[in-house]
This record gives sequence, structure tokens and C-alpha cells, in this order.
Amino acid sequence: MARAIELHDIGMVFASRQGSVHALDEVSFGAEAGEFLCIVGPSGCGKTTLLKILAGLLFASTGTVQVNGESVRGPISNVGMVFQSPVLMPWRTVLDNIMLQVEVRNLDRGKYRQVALGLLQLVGLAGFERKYPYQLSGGMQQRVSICRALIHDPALLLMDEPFGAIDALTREQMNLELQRIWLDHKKTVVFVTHSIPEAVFLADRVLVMSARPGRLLKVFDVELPRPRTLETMAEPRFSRMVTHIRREMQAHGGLE
Amino acid sequence: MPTDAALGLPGPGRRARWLTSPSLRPRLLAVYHRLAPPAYALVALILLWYLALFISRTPDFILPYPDRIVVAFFKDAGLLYRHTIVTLQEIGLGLAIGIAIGLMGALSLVWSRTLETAVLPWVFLLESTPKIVIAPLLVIWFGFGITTKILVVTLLVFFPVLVTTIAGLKSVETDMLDLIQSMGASRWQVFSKARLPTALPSFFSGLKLSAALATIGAVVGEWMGADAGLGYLLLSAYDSFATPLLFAIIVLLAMIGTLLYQAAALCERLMLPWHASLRQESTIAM
Amino acid sequence: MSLWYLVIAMTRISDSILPAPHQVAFEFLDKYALLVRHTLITLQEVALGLLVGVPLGVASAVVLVWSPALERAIMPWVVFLQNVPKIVVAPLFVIWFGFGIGTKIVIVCMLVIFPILVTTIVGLKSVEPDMLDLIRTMGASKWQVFYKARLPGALPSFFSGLKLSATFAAIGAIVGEWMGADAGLGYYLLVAQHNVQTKALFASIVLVAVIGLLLYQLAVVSERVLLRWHVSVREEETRRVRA
Repeated sequence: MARAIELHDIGMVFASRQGSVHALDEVSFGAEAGEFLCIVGPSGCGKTTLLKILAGLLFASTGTVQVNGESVRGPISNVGMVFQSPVLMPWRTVLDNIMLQVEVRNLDRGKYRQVALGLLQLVGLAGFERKYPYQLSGGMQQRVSICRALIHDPALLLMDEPFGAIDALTREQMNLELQRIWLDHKKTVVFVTHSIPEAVFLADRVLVMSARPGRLLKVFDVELPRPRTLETMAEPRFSRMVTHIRREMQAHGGLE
Repeated sequence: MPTDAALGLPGPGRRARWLTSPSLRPRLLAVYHRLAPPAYALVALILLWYLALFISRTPDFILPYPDRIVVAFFKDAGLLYRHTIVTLQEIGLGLAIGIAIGLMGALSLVWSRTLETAVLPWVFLLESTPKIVIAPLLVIWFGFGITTKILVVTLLVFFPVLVTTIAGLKSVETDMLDLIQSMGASRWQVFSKARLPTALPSFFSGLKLSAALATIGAVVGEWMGADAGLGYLLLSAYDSFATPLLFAIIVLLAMIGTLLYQAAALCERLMLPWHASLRQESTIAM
Repeated sequence: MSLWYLVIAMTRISDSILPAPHQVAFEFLDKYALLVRHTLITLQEVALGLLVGVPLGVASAVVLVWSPALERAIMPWVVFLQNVPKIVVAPLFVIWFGFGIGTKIVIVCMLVIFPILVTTIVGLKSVEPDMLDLIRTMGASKWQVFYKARLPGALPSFFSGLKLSATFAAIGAIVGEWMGADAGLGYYLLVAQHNVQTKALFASIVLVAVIGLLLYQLAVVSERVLLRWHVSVREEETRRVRA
């Protein structure tokens, strides 16, 4: 059985007006199906680039990417993506925004309408399906975009700092919800963040990256029991882990 | 036009190093890739023009060969020069008066709340009307002299300046106003330190629009009746079917319009080097 | 208004220079049929010009966005021509197309195309890169990307161009008629000017202004109906609720 994702020796060099930029260097990692991976690293370390390479939206300069045992040669489709901004279409209602995924994929609209409503219920947005994005708060909008990433039941979920623009209180709430959804659906998740506590709270494994050119510094296994709660964050084991990761990043000049 | 800085070129002091820089070639290539396609398009258009005329044998007064236009340019250079001066005069005076009135109007409207509530709705209403139709009326009032043309230019120039300056003056963030008031600023200080600088970008976008409109105002003013100016010359070339000259005048007017616009854009760039739209524009221009 | 009457009373100005407002109003009643006839002709020119110019502008924008090669070759010229006084080409069109309605329509068309073309291009290119990435992971075809993401996203920008071209269309028709015509409000304006019928001149100026305003409002209303979701429309609505 092939692993859910497998990246081998990924390097990335961008050509720009100022010369070439070495964004990623010899990054290799993999994940089993249903595993929750968090990637932390300083700003500009190529986390987003890595995610896009994984999604087949960018091509790595060197190395190979496999998803479910198949080489990635173009945008993969058995995937749901969530970005830092919700990227909702302002002219579509909440429900229609989720249904975009269904329309583009030519799936059965009647059937998936029910799925969408169920997902909205799951993220606590039941009754909001006819609202427009501007009538929702930032956190609610991001919940909608998570529903959109889940509706076609993809095996892989790629999240690029999805809660980076959300206030701290809502962010904790969103982390709890994401964990609940993940426990329900058991998808493979690659989650990029620059909050170490968020990474430790969510992940099975935390991948720490260095500043540019982005290298994989170390992988930490998080062995905190699930479901984790807000109290988990107060436990000594939790803060030890966070401190540990922070030291690792500091040692490599990743943090100022 | 992108500035040297926008192109990433170093200043003149380090020119020697710049010349020997190994990355010069890609930069020149980038300039080439930017300029070549539009140049090819122009060449293609001119070739097509010749070809179409050659095949259809269209008479000169309908569509002259491009080289005939160039010839007209030089043959009638003296004539063109004389009339250009007249039109430029109308444009210059009209712009000066229009901008001054527009600015003063904006300042007084923003300064006085009663004036604002009474007059501003009318300003917005009139903004979207075709103001040029007042030109014939101005002829009745002020005759066929230069005054009428200056007033037509003023009329067209005044509105964009007024509207954009008002918008600019009112665009100060409330937080910024609160901040400066917490420093104990007087009403005048609030105005000169916060409102006025904030209004400049918007004012300049109005100025650029005015610069483009001023030429139209002068030409249409001359069309209403004149004995000099490029608009007048345009009509007399049209009356006598001197189409090559007609084309030459159109090109000249296009150049004047562009120069005025670029002059306004240059002022903007010199006065507002900090404004984001400039950086953005220079990247679009790339 | 009272200022207007005051000036007339004080200066005892002749009504061939400045007629009183009520005189202009009577002019409307007097020459009702004549004004309507000329107005209808101008409206026809404006409508046909818009009907041809707007689709042409949108179509060119789509073509330019679709083909990067064409865009690189032609877009710099469009940007250049955008700030050039285009109306001065009007006499040339008269030479080419004569004094008929065709010339006026072409002039309206020419003035209308540019704002539509430029704003539609800006709109079509305004899609967030993340949105493009997202929709690609859904396996969207080029066509789906276009009509699901680019086209609706271009509407706000398109409407700002449409509002601009509504005013331009009225100007184009009037100036077109000034170049030579035997009917239309622009023609009527010139006749009134020649005969120093200032009342008639005022009446037709008011009519042209009203046409311009109505066209503009038409664009505003269609924007409001179609773009209920867009920020500019929403803000306007909240402002109206507050006022």
C-alpha cells in the first residue's frame, strides 16, 4: 500500500528580475493516510510553495511528488484546499460557494446539496446557506471555505495558514472544530502555519522548516491524546513541546 | 514610463558597474520583450494600410498613404505651428483657471457644512451630464474670441478637479483625524497636515483626467466658431478635403493630449513618490 | 434659482442673452413636438452606438485577455489611446461615412469602446490568484475558469466603464451632429445658436443634460440590480438607509 503523500528531495528555484531565488532545498517527507501533518517555519521559508507543489499547481525544480502512489504531473483533483483568505465568490451565496466545487466537477447537484447543508450544520452555520459572504464574519467565511474543501470528500486536505487572519479567540474555536471534523472524516491533512502552539495542538507530526532556502530541520511526533481540548494547551507536556520546537527554530536563525 | 528605480537600474554614480553587470542582458531582453510586440503591431497596421490602399485604389482624400501624412506634416509645418500655439494658449489658460476654480470650490465645499449639503448633490448630478453642450451658449455670451474657448476648457477641466479633490479631502481615516486631534491640532493643522496630503493622490487622478479633457475642450470650442487654432484648421482641412493634413492635425492633437497627460503624470510622480498607485502603474507599464 | 431671477431683474438683461427660467419652461410647452422629434433622433443615435459599442468593447476585452500574445501587442496602444482626445477624429468619419446617422453611430461607438474595453480587461484580470489555484484543483476547464470566476468578477469594473460610456455616448451623438446633420438635438442646438434663440438653446441644453443623466442612471440601476453583492452597491444602500 502506497503512502498518502510522498515527497522526495524537493528543490525549488524561482527566476526573478533580481536573479534566482532558492526557495526550497532537499525537502523530503511523507504521510500515511489519515495523518495530520503541520508544517511550521518562519515567513518566506517556502511553506506555501511546498503546498502548491504538493497540489500540482507548481512544478518543483528537482525531486518527485507522489499522491496515493501516483506521480503528480499537473493539478491534482482528489484534494480540498483552504487558503489564508477564504477566497469566496462575493456574488454567490454561502451554499452556492460550496456548490462551486460540485458544479465544476459535474457531480450530482441534488445529492450534494444535502451534503453541503450537512457540512454547514457540522461547522455551526446551519441557516446561513442563503447569506452572502459579506454578511458573515471572517471566521464564518473561513468555515464556509472549509466546507467547500470537504464537500467532494477528497482524500487529502491542504490548508495554507487558514486561520492566520482570524482573531485569537475565534482561532482556538476553529482549531477545536477542525480537529472534530478531522476525527469524523479521517482525511490526510497538510496544514501550514507559523503558530507553533497551533501546530502542536492539531498535528500528529510537526515538520519544522528553516528560513530560505527552506529545508526540513526536524520532525516532532506529538503524542498528546485526542480529542485535545483547551485544557490540553495548559498541560506541561504541551508547553514543553512548544518550547522544544521554538528552540529548534531559534537555533537555526529562524526566529528573530 | 517606468523609472530607473522601478527597472531596478542603479543610479548614475554606479553606471560603470551597471554596464559591466552580468545581469544587464536579461534586463535589456525584458525591455525588448515589452516593446517588440506593440512595435510589430504598428508595423503590421501600416503594412495593412498600404496593402488595402494598393488593392482598393481608394482616393487620397478618403484615406491617404501614411507617407503622405508625414509629408503634410513637414510641408505645412509653419501653418501647423501657428495654429498649435493658439490652441496651446487656450488649453493652458483654460487649465489654469479650471484647476484653480476646481481647487477653491473643493476647499470651500469641504470647509463649510451648509455649502456642502446644499451644493454637493448638484455637483454629483452635473458630473454625469455632457457638459460640452453648453459651448454654443458660451458663444452667444462671449462671442467668437479666445474667451469662449478658454471657458469651454475651464468647464471641462473644472469638474474632475472639483470632484476628485472633494473625494480626496474626505478620504482621511477617522482614526487619523482622532490621532491628530489628540495632539491638540488646530483646525488649520488638521487640514494642512492630514486632509491636504491625503487628498493629493485623488487630486492628481483628477488632474490627469483634466489634462486629457482640456484638448477636447479647446478643439470643440474652436469648432463652435474660430479663425485660428488646430480645431479650426481641422475643420478647414475637412472642408477642402485636404485629408493628409487632416490626419496630420489629428496626430498632432493626439500628441498634445498625450503630452499633457504625461506632464500631469510626471508632476504626480515627482510630488507623490510615496503613493502606492505609482509603483503599481510602473509595473503595469512594464 | 432666485439668484437667477435677481440677476435678470438687476441687469435688465435681454432674454436673448439670458432668459428667465419660466421662459425656458414655456419654450418646452411651445415647441413640444419639435423638441420631441429631435430628441428621439439623438436617442436613436445614442442607443444604436451603445448597442454596437458595448458588445464590441466587451468582445475585444475577452479576446485580449484570452490571448497573451495579442494583449502584449495591442494593450500598450489601448493604454496610449485611452488618454488621447478621440473626438477630434469626428470630421474624418464624416468624410468616410457622410452626413447620415451612420457617422453619429460610429462616433458614439468609438467613444464608448475605450472605457468598456479598458475596464472589462481590468475586471477580467482581477481574479485572485488563490481563486485560480483553487478552481484548478477542482479540475476546471479554461472555459469554466472563464465563466465561473473571471466573468462575474469582471462585472463591477465593467459597470464603472458602462457608467462612463453612458455620458460619453451623449457627447458623441451631439458632437457627431455638430459635424453636420439635419436633425437631432445637436443640430437643433446649433440652429438655435445661429438664430440667437437663447430660450430654445437653453431648452435643448436641459434636454441633453437630462438624456445624459437618464443614461447614467440607467447604468446605475442595472448595476444595482445585477450587483447586489458588490461593495460599492452595498455601501450606497447603507448610506441611503442612514439618510
